[in-house]
Amino acid sequence: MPALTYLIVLMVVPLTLVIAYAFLTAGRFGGVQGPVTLDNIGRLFEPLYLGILVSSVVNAGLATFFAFLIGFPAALAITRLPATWQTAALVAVVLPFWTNFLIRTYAWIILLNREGILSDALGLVGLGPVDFLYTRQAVILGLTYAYIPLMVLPIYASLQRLDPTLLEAARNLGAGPWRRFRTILLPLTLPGIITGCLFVFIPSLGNFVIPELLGGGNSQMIGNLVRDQFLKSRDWPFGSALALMVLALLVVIVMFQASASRRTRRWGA
Amino acid sequence: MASGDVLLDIHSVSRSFGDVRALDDVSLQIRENEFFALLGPSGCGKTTLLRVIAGFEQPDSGTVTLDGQDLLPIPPEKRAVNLMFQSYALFPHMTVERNVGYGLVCDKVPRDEIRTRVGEVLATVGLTDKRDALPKTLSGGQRQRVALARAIVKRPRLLLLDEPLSALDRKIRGEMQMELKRLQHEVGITFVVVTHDQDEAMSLADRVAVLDRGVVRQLASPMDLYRRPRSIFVADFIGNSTILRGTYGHGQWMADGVPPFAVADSAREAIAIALRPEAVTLVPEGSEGSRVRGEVVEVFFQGDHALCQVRVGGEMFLAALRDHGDHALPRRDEACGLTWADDAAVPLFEE
Repeated sequence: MPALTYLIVLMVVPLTLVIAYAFLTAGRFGGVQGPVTLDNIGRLFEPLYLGILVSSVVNAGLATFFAFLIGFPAALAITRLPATWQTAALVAVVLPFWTNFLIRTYAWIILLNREGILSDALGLVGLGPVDFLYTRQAVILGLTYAYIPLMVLPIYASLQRLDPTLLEAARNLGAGPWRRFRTILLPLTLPGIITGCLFVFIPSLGNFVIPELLGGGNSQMIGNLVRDQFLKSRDWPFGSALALMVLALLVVIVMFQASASRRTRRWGA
Repeated sequence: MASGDVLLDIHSVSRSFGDVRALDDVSLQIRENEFFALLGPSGCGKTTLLRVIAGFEQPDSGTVTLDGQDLLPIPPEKRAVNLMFQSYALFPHMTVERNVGYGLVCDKVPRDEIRTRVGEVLATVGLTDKRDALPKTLSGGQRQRVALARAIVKRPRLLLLDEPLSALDRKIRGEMQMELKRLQHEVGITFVVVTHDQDEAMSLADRVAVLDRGVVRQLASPMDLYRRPRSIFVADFIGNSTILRGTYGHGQWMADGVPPFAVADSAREAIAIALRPEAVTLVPEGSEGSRVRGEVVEVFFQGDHALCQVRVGGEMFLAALRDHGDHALPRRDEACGLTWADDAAVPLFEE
């Protein structure tokens, strides 16, 4: 019963509101009013908005990819540590979460701007100054950094469950490091990898703080667009329609994940 | 290649983990085509030795050669040594066919040849109809056959088997034991089995090395190990025996709490003697030829024989009663005499 209440209050009610708003007309000073219309849904397919959606998906996708590229070896390295060091390493992985998200993002501004540490360092070897800030790369870097712990933890959990003798067996049968990774490690930790990718991709897609602070005006993402509809343009119905579009996309992705993890469960323990 | 040529030469190999000497100057030679067993209690170093041969562990000192070639610098994936893991370590996401073919794929064997060879080896272990099954749908015995097939399909020079029968229940163990023996003849690969189970080692192997705390205590055929153990450890570890510490004097064995009895001169330097239960005969008290007298403490009926525990002074003797047929088994607390042939007492020279 508490679970049901929880679901109704935090999930069903807000979602119903968003769905309802998407089919209404904007009030003059925010809010919604009649009549019921499909205009908001129609506007989603304007090239401007579709373009922003696509570039958001690309940004979030690249951030996910890089988070995996760094996160998987990191998780693997942690599982190879002695037990006490593993705990310490895991604490270190989540440690950044104890600091405010905004402050951490501001720290990147200090690192990346034209007078920042990175630019200065490159200047010393004659390559600078370079403007890293307010570029698309900076946004992807910021997203990768922000959510990498969410990649490391589920992969670590998967690796922990993996029987290490499987890797020895593969090695004994003649598999080199790359083959062991490709044929044993990767398929058997796939559930953790998919979970990690979702954990990074979903919040990256909707994020509007990082594109704003590190991307400046150049790299709007779908999250910025939604926020602007509610807070600047006062067009709540269109904001809701955009939010629904993102939601629909994520539902498709989560369904894909569910089917993939069903497949891996067939292997049994 | 004639049987008898040295295939694997382990020379003076030592390996420590912290303060523990897992292998202490181990030397032994394994011959071409033989069925060899490394036997010892847990922690005796047998698994470490196995891992050294497979390449998962490097010794601190010593050499290991296979076919005269130095094995130690070769990484595990390049050694002509395959290992059947105790847990089988089957890949759960691959069918039986892909599991068995894995090693051949690694060697970039052409696809058609992989199919044929996997088919052949599955036929050898009797699993042709399980080709497309996933490991978790197989029984324990079938999984073991898959593991075995996977390890022999590459035709290694040496096959290592880590506790091959320990995970099976008693009935299948017997079948698998015969199967292993048959396979070894059939495929002509040198087998090295690592086990803590003396029955497994004794029934499978041509020769057995008994390990204790990183040291090879005795290397001999199963029959010699049983009949002529050199040390108290081996006599105690293999089979049941009555071990009597004591000293030799004037053709007599003097053990604490037991009246002196006659022994052969070969026991002159011994620190103990061992008596196998089947060499000891129970006779009526005071009858002629009775070497010692005692009383029956317990009788264990075993089917084809009964094992009888007899207290003699401060020592417990074991006597096996064969062919008891219709005769009643001795009763508890019954007084009796024990006797044995002069050469039945095996002298032991080491701890």
